[in-house]
Amino acid sequence: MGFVTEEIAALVGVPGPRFTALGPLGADELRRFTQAVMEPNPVHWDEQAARASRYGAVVASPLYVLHAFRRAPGTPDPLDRLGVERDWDGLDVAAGFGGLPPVEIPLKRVLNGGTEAEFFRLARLGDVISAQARYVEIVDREGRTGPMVLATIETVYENQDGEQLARVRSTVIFR
Amino acid sequence: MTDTAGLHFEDVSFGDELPSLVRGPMTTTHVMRWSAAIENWHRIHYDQPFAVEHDKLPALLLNGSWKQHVLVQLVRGWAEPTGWLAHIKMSFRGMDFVGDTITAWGRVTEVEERDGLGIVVCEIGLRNQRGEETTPGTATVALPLRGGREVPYPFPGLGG
Repeated sequence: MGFVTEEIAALVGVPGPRFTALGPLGADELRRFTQAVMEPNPVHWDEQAARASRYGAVVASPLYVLHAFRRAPGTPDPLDRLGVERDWDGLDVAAGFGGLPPVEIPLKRVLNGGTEAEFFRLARLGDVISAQARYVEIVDREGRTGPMVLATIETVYENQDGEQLARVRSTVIFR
Repeated sequence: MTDTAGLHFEDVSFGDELPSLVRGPMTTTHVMRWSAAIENWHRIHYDQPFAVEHDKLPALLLNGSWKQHVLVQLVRGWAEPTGWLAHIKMSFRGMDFVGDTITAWGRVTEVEERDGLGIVVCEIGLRNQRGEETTPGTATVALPLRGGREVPYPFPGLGG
């Protein structure tokens, strides 16, 4: 007996909405990211180094695309929830699902199981990154601590010219 | 890019170890900086009472979202500027905590020449100072052959 009903299994393969970054990739946003991730490669900030490289311009590191999408100004503050629900963990679960319908199962814990990525090109400063996700697998598994469900989401990231940057598969564990 | 500088397929053999990358000890401050940079407010990374008392964790957790980048840095630091990290895969099997020092390591497990490029597969992982392998994975890199063509950029994918 599993949690993955026919209805849930039917989510697999259905493309979610295309979503787009708030604006072009900015130098300050990239600098803050590059410093926080402790990235040592100067092609991510030094114009000269970048120009001399295959990239030709300052680029973001390959997995940056995962963090390219932010909350628009003027939208409801998710942290308002802490005012009414002191024990909320601060995790916007829906944000991890790229606009896909939620997997509605009675398992409470949601864990990041892993990442798989193929890289084609790196986003340049000024690129407007967009993405589209779909479930590629939703399956029941028996874990060490009991039943669990694994959902794998594939997201394709592109620049404003429709050129593919990366294809990323994230596995979410419900248990 | 000259033909002799940088890593080429001929420089790589089965069993070779990648130069390891050490990060840490990772403090709450590092984790706060990361969480703020990516605007992820999950409290298990920076709110000690919440992590320990509410979520029953032993300590504040290092972000998986950060750890995956360390593995990318490990492989690119070895393979670029000549090579291209074409594929990477990792599983978050174990937890790393604030206070931990993380070592990213890699070892060459497959070498193959394909369409005028060298395709190299590495076993990779993150190990903490307790010796726990928390983030095992694999990476596939395309390298130029000595005297051969450059690795194409944009990279078309590994295909079959």
